[in-house]
Amino acid sequence: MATQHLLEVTGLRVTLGDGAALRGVDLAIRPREVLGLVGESGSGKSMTARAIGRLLPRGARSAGTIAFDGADVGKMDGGALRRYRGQVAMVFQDPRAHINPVRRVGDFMTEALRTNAGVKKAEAYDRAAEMLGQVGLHARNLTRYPHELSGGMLQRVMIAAALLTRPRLLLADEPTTALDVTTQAEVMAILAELRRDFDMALLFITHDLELAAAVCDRTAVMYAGQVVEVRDAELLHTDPLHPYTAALAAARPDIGRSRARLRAIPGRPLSGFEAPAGACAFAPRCAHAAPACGQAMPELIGVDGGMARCLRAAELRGTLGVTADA
Amino acid sequence: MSRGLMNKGKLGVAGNASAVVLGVAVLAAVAGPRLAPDNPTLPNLQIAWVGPMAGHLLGFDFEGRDVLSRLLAGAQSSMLGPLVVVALAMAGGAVFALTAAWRRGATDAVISSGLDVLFAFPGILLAVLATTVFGAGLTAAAVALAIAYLPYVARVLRSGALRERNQPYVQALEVQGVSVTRICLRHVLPNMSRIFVAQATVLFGYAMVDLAAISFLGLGVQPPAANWGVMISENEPGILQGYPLPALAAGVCVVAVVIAVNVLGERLLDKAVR
Amino acid sequence: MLAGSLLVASFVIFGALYLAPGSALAALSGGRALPAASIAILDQRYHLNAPFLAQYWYWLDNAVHGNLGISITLRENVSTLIGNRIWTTAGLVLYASLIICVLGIGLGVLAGLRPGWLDTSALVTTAVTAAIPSFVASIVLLLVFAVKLGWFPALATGGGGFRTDVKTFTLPAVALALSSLAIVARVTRAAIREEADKEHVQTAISRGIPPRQVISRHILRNAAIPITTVSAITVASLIAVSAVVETAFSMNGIGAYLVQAAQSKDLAVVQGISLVLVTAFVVVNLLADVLYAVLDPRVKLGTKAS
Repeated sequence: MATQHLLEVTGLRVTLGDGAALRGVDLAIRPREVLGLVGESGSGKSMTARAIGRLLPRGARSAGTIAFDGADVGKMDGGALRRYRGQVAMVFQDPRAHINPVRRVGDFMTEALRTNAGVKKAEAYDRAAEMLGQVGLHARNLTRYPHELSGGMLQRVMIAAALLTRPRLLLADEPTTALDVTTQAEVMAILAELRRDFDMALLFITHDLELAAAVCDRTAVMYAGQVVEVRDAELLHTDPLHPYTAALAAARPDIGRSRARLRAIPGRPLSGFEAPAGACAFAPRCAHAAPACGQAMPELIGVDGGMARCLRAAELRGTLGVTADA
Repeated sequence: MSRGLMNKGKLGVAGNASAVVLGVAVLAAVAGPRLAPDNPTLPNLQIAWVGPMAGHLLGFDFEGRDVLSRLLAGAQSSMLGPLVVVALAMAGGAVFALTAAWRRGATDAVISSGLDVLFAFPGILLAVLATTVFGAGLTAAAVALAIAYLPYVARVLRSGALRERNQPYVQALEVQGVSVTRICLRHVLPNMSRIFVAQATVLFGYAMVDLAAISFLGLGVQPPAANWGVMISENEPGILQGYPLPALAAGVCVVAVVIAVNVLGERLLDKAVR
Repeated sequence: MLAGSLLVASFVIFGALYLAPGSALAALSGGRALPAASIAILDQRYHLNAPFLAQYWYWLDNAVHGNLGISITLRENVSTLIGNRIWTTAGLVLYASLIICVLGIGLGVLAGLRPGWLDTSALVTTAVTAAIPSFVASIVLLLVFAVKLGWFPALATGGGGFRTDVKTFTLPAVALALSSLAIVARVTRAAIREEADKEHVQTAISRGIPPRQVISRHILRNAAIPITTVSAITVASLIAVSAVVETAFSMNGIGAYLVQAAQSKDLAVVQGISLVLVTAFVVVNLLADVLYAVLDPRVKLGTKAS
């Protein structure tokens, strides 16, 4: 595509202590696009978001490039970094842990505006009140403390706060996982609506393949610290390119089908730290593994409009779909 | 007290060094008076404040007594006093903690708030009060300190006791009809032994400091009996007159044992919590 | 709850009268033989013929109104005797508290925010000073700073004007503060470390808030809760230990006086000073609870600062 990518991550590797948390992440987000990032725990999706948001823990070393609007994020400092943070906002999984419990909601929301953008207090609070309205909360919540609000309300506060700086990219790390199902739906709806209203790109991290399919334009799948597939969201379901994605989709319980046992993927998910260096990390659990898979690390290559990290991707084209029960 | 546990597991360099220091102190406490080369209480004013010399490594104190002998003799009361305090406080605390944990509900509430209320009494103050009324001496001071420590000990043991109480093996024993006392003594307490001993060790340090302070104030062990706290107080004038060794030597003894006990206690607490 | 503590404490203080072997009269007189007139006065003042609880009530009532009885040894009002000496003790405790708060918290904050040589040296120093009881610290400080270096006077009596007082009170204040410094510094360091790792700090960083503000508005502000609590509790503990330091430095505060009264079995004085000290202790703890509730909006006043 000719359009400039808003965010481009190339060959991102992150080491923490002795082990590798991320072993090769490549993704790109266009302006106003919704990219899903799916994977099980330990796959490295949160770490990816943190890397993009320059929030890596102390002692983490990273290689590869993250480019925002063409500029190298890793090299930003001072003023440039602050501006970047204004353009790329994060929403976290557990809102109660991520909001300072001893300060009021209004303080939390307006803090960045007042310190960074130098906005006067009154105006900042006005903007915050208005944004609260957009997420369906009353302005009186500004004077409340976080412990007086429910989890769902807090998540909406967090989203509203993130949007105050009019970011061009929103990184949402499992924003609804900690909420109950009804609240999940509400928050998702708000997120979708605001994304359209504010013209934002969204990186939506989740472990729920279905949710990603419903919300995202494209989806990337991660396993053991690497991106193993990138595909149009709908096609990911019906026509996946990577055996892992196929297995994930098949393992999902489905009311429509009736089966005696849930189809689980044998073995357990590997994290980046445990994955072998010179082989495909998924091979031991893969139903389509060949001897070559254990001998070389597959590269992420373009296949039929998407990307897949599999030596046999071309061979397996069209055979991995969710079809009849085997 | 902590001798049996010195063999269990690694204690690290500091832990082992502390164990050694503590061992020496215990030895002195047990055999001190017999190990002392000279009479620790007989005054000989002609050689008051004389400095170290052959056969008298630490010199003489304000009444001409050999400092080393007096330190060795003093180890007994300096170590035994805190031991008694700890024994009383732990025993009493355990009784309250177990009762509160067992009966729960109203009994627990009453005991807990009752003990909370006692927290207002600093140990030294209670000891001063006790010695005024009952006369100065180690017994009154030790008992008073034990009572002052009770709420703290009971609180710590209570949470451990509650945890044990909720374990399935306890319910199994209850169903079998085993008596509560038996369950506590033969099963619950032994399972809490790690935190029990760790807490006792830490408490020993506190008791030692408080008791030495009380003796320093003249309300605990009475001179001419040998005691490290007493030695510091009676030799304090020496500091101002240029003979600091006797008071300092006693001070070093106290500090060394307290550090050893603290280090050991911390190590044991670490292992108990894990 | 704390009022209850105070009440029970006052009850214990009063009850000591009857715990003593022998009669209440013997306890009050400290075993001395008294002329009949004095006995009559004691009888009347303490209502010795009334039932126990009534006596307690009279004593408490008197105490609250400032009448703490008469010293058997000095034949003066206990309240007056206390009043003369209380400022020495107050000054000492305040000075020591200042040292603890400034040095202890300061050291803890620095060690918490910057890992490195400062941190390790702080840990080691505090580990050592924590084990030094105040009476040992007193004699060491006397030896080094008063005798050998002559920087400070050895005897510390109050009332010499502010400047001289500060100088004379420095050594005793340091002796009093030393062992408590360690725990305040350690708790501060731990609190800062713990807070810096919390998720809400990550949120602040992710929004580009400058590091200085992240530290002051989030790390320090939140860590202030446990730090204030431990500082207040530590200051409260100073109140009792001040007696030891006052004795070591021959200061004329109420702590030293308490010890002297105990030695001469002057029960009225002991009871009076005990009551004052316990009240101060409870008041400081109460302040700790109030501060805790102020700093942490999740807590309602009335719950205990853990």
